[in-house]
Amino acid sequence: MTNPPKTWLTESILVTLLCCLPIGIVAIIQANKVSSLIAADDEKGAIKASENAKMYVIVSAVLGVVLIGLFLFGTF
Amino acid sequence: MTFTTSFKRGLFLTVVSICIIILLLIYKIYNPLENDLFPKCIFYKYTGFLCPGCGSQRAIHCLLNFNILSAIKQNILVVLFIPYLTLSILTKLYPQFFTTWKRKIESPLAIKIIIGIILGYWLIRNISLDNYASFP
Repeated sequence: MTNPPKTWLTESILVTLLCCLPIGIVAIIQANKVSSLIAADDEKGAIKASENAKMYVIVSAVLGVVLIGLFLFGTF
Repeated sequence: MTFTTSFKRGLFLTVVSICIIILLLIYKIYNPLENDLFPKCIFYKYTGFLCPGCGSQRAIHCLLNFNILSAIKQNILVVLFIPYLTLSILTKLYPQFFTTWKRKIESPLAIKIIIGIILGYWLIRNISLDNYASFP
């Protein structure tokens, strides 16, 4: 594959460790899927898995920031 | 006004670096255990189980004060993943210098080992009854 899609692995590990939400692990498992599909030379599947991984990273980061924000304002 | 992409990239990296330095200073000076302003783990609060990231703030505080043993005690994953994350961020910033590394650190085997480490640590820290699990 000439231009492999992003695996989002670094971001997944960061959200797992810093956002306190187990969704980060789902993102890492998606990153594994992307990497396996790249290794298998399945470009379409890899791009789709990469988009999924990106979604999980964003969901985890946004949820983490929102929950931490709510915590800081004393709602929790 | 229009900016070149390299200028935008430089600006973005500068802003991110300044934010990280400020955060690191806060985490070096204040102990998350003694200060109510630091966010607590939502997962722990509502389920009573520790998540893989629980203790990462305390671990960062300990690491910044060069107390590696107690950082390991708070959250060993932070200590373990700092070299790995540094390397992978460097490969993203300077891909031209790390062409062989990039393939290796994101290979399926490497990711499977990472998943194993995180899930294993999550399990062990919740079933062991020593001081790992006794932290609020």
